[in-house]
Amino acid sequence: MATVKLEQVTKIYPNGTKAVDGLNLEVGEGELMVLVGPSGCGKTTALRMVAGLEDISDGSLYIGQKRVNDMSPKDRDIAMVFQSYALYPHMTVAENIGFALKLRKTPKAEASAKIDQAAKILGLSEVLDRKPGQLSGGQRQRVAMGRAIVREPSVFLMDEPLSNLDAKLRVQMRAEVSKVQRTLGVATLYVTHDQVEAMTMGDRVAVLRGGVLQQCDTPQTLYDRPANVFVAGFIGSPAMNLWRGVLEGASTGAATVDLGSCRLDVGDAAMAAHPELSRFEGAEVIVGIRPEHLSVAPPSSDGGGELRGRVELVEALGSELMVHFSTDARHVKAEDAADDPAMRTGEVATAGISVARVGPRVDVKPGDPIAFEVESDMMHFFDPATGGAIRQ
Amino acid sequence: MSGRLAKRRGWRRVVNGVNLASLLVAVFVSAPLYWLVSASLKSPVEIGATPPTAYPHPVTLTNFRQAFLHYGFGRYLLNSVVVSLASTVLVLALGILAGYALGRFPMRGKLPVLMGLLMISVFPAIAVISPLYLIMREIGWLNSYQALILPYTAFNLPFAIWILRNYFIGIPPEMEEVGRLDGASPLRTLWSIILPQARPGIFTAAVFTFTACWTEFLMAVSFNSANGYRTIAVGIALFGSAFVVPYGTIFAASVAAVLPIAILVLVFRRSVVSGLTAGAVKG
Repeated sequence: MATVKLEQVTKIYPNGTKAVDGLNLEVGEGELMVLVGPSGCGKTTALRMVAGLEDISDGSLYIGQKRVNDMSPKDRDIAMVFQSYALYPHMTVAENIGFALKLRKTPKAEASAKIDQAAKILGLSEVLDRKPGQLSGGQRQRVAMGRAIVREPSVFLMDEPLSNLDAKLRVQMRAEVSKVQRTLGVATLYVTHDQVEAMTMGDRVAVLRGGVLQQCDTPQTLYDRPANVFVAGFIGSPAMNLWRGVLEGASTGAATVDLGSCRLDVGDAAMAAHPELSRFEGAEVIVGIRPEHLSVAPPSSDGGGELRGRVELVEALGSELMVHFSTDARHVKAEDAADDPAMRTGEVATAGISVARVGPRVDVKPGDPIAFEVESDMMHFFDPATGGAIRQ
Repeated sequence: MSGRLAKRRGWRRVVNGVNLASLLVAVFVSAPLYWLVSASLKSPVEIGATPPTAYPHPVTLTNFRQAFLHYGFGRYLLNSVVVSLASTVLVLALGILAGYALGRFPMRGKLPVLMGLLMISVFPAIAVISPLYLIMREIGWLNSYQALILPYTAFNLPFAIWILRNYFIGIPPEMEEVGRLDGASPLRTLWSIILPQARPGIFTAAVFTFTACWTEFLMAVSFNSANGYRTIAVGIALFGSAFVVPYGTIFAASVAAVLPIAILVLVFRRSVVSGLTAGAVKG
């Protein structure tokens, strides 16, 4: 049974903007569902509709078994954590956490027991008497969490709760929020623009773009089998390399794809995995290769079946090298793929910078020519007309 | 190195210049105040002395005794307290609701309302004195507290609404949203969540309103000239007779009148300053 269910939920603002378009989503019991997408994709609007802070223009929202479209926020049995935390600055930590209980006329002893318990879970017992202004960023974030958990709601809603923290604290709180959520087993809808946060925290991740759901699946599936160019480019860091190429020889059984002047083999396994590819014989496809599926070819190789380019920049991360290189293949930017008409005609496809993730001992310098071997069964193919993945 | 030093010395000269300027301003502003206080403690003879004396010698409280005992200044003080306090409370009660609504709720015609308020707040009081006098006479309100409380409220409300509205706008809207989620009614949200955070704005509006009512003269002298209803400003002006101007008593009464305002501003000065600048930094 789903705890939260969105059925064709749509939000149209009075000025005609469609912020969320026919969103279908189910959050299961105890599940942490992450809504991710670039800014302005409608993820926060979707969350606010679930919270009851925005009206739902069309569609149905269920929490538990009830349709709650017209129910006021306080009756929806939800608790929300805001990006700004929205702590009451004039109240102490204990009063902040207990305010909702006070409004519900919870007996004092019971309320203070609940506050103490929440404070214990979040490590706030020492600072219960302080005001938010005297707390660190991480503590404020915890108070915001405390305010949510003390109400024992059936759904948590979190709107970029970690984006105000510095990078190190964010990683730490990411784990803490996950732990608390798992301990309490409360269904959670979590909004973020950070795909790393989405991947690491989500049981499932829903990728939104322009108010439309692109794909909703487990993090690994999103990574391994992105439904379209946008998801492919959005999930993963550094992003998947995307080029325009021409497919040749699909019918002869020795399929290749031309990326600029390079001709890569599309192995039989890859062809078998993407049977629909044969439809694109002699036509353009978008080819996607993740940075870690490019490996530097030995210098002695003859140059066939490889991706050649020139090193532009090398970033040493200690455990690995990020090699940024240019090729003469036409680069595709995921952000403007698919629904940009100029993109479809290929007018703005330019040479961009591609990235490979290679071992730390490889000797490369900016300016060097470089060649990569490609794991052909790790190649992704997308239809340039629709941006959708080419699969069956 | 030497260039930097020279630059620094030049900078210090600027700072000293600024200090000197502020000192001059301070002297310019406080000199009359000093004259007022010192004269209030002088004997009538010393006040009229030429050349004037720099400080009271000997110090005497005769003038204060005269003001309170002979002229009954205590009554005027009480009248002013009643009128100013009542007007301030009314202005705040109405101003908070109006300012909150204008700051937060989507509504039609908000801009005309705000512009209208601004225009009213700079409206010259003298233009409405005559018609108001006729109305007051007609409804029998001349020489009563409400004859001042009502117009004071009306005249000070627009400015208070502006101050309060600007302050409310500076409070993040998430505050109301989180209140809604916590289950607070709109009034409860205003009372328990918004007002405590708007305290500086409320103080500012209160101090400005109170001061304006405290020092108002025109309406007070027109509507409440009977001895029992005179406010301090009217009382001081009507001291003496056609042939006597009791300067000492006037000075003493003025000191007694300024004191509450000075204390009020001193106590709330932090809040008042932050209240005035709130809109500026928070947008």
